[in-house]
Amino acid sequence: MRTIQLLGMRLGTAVPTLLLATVIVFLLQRLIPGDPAVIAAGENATPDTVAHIRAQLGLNHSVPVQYWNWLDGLLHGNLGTSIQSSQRTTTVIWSHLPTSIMIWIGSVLIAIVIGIPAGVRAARSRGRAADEAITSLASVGIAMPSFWLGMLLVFFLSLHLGWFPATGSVPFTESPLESIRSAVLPSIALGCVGAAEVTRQVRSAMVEVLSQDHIRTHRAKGLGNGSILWRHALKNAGLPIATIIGLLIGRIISGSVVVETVFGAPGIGSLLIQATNSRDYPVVQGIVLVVVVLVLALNFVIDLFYRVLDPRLRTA
Amino acid sequence: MRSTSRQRRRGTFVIAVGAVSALVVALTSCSSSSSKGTGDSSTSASASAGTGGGTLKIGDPVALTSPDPIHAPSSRDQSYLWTVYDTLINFDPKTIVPTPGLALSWSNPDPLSLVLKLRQGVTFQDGTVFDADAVKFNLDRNLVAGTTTVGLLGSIASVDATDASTVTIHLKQPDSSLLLALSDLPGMMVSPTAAKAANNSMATAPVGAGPYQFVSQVTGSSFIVTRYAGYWNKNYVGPTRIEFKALPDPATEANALKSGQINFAINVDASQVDGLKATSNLKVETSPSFESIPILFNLHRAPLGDLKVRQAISLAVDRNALVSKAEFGFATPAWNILPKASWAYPTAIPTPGRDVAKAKDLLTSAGFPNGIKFDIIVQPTAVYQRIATLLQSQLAEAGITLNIIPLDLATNTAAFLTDQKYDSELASFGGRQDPATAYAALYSTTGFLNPGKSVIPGLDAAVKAANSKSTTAERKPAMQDLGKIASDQALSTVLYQRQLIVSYSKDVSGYTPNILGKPKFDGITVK
Repeated sequence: MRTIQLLGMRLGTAVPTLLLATVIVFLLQRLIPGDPAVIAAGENATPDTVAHIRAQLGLNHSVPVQYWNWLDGLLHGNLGTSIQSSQRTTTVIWSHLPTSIMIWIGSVLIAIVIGIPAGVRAARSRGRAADEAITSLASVGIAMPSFWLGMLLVFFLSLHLGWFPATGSVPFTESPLESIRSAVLPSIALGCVGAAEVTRQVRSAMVEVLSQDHIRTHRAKGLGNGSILWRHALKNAGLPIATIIGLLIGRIISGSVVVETVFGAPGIGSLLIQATNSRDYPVVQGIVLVVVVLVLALNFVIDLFYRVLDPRLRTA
Repeated sequence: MRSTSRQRRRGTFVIAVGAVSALVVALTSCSSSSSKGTGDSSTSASASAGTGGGTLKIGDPVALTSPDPIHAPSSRDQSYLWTVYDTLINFDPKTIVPTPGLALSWSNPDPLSLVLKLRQGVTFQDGTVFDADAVKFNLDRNLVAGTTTVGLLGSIASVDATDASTVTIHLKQPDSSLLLALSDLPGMMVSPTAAKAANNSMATAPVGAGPYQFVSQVTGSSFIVTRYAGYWNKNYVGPTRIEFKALPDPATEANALKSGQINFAINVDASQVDGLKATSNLKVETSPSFESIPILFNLHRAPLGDLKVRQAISLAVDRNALVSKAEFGFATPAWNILPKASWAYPTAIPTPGRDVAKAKDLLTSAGFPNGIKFDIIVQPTAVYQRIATLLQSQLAEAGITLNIIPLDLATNTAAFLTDQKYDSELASFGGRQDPATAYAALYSTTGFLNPGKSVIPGLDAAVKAANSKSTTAERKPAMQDLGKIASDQALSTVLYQRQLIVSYSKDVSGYTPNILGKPKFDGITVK
């Protein structure tokens, strides 16, 4: 299948997926008790104020009409106005997205940079002490809550050693180095759990590949261990590894909700919590839309990556 | 061949390790220069007007909701917004009595008129002149349906710009609480020019006549302002720049302070105080605040409609134990929504200690010899859960079964006040600048916090009486009456008033708390 065909197919399934996700979130929000108009009206509200705000927000309409209005706005590039801050939803989300993206990229890099070498090393030493040690560490990593690791990192690397900031973030455009520094600890907190998962998956895929005939042939031909591992075995184990990394990205995006709170990082995870607490429907809906689009796009990239790893898929 | 390949790999490894080490050194060496610092490049800059200086980096668990005062739903927004917006009326930080702000003086030529004489030589941060037309524009802007402030200005019939420096506010009924309302969000003056240019919204680029002008914001996260060179008060002392950061998690706020990312933390959680006190370069200060923790009752729901039952609940509560165990001692036991520091505090009300036997007798005489059971909705946060659990065990000793229902703030406001689904709510009442407004909000027939709008005999009349007198001295007797009604009727069981806890770097000086519990930052200097 050509790449363009794949793109067409993916787009064909992406649109209904996107619509379904937004419908589900839209309905779930309406099921949560709590009236955004009462919250927006504030501490000195009068019944008239609440009624006026409710009408202004379109909350008097039926849920299908509210959804249609939101969808109509979306098709015109308008995600609505934040109930809390009275700012455009796109502006609010856009201002929080860079922080999250820094953390996501950092976490995925950490997961890959630690996870793949560790998994390969464990597979190479299958059954020996190094394998046992790496597998045990990976189990600890998977069991470890990222917020708890985050607190430990803050205590030791920030408060004790002063190497990294304990909280917050710096825009990349303001100071690239400071921006990276502020993303290091949240990325480690999120990425370590991912690294553990990648380690286990790489180990298992590599163990399987290393037991195959073509590897024995390579050895018989006198190919070096490194070349066998990194050039031949790892490439053959690439498909499951790409799959786990694809899944991992989704998990890292959802995990950032908690980690951003621990580090006081103004990303869309912490924004989602605030928006949910204040029933800021347009912002919650906007964040969900952004995240679903991102995940669908990443899945497409992973699909393309499959085709790079396995040329047979290009002609299938 | 193999050895060449190994050497190449080794070389690559060395380069990789070198590159990673260089990155780590670069990242961590940056930290030594900035993570412990208390300011940025602007720290050393001198203030553009008056004295003071430095960058005040404030951490607050509560984020600014909206920079537009007519759409700010939370009174906690005041600390943020007082930097950008001066108010028509100011208040004394120790007594919360009205003092001149942008209005230099005021008078009531008749009970239905309030005349404000305005300060001259004031400009908004965009250069627009502050005058009577600007005040009329602002008050009219508040009075539009759908603003969060219209409820505080309910007594205003119309506003006239009598001349350039005089404004006449015509009232529907006498209302002396209006003065302090004008020190709150409704009194914050926005630039008419900027508002008109922005489709009457100050949400993205607020412009006021305060000592600081807006620099930037990230909604729910940060709000940055810098000194306004054209500020009318040339003797103003304050930081050159203020950066607010919202840090909702108490431990995160404390960590940010310890690591030097902020140099001033407000609304510090009591659980963090020991850790902050143990940090050598930090100070911790506490001061009284208007924030009360009451159990608010829905008087329409049995058995809480019975006065004796409410009195029994109040007697069964051990306020001292709640203060020490739920707030780690950083609160003051209370029997009224006003703190004792308020000029309007009802000095004659009884403040009985815990008396379980008497509580049981009251329940028996109310027809509940086997005790009662009622629901209480509680925010699902650590501190509220602590209070609720303690209350549950204390009330159980008097035969009162407390059914704790955790509900987040967004849900419990609507569930308790609008839908009236529950008997009571463990609330946090931030207080109001004007004491009569506080009583009215909680107990009057139009009070937002009075579920079902229960009619309390004499209360509306007492609010009206308090608001019909002009001076603080004249209002005092009516305030005593209001306090007595709230106490006699046991309208809510006030548990305690929280203390405002702030912690700041020793580089910060000049902080003056106010008993409202919402800090202002004038007088502060950062080294």
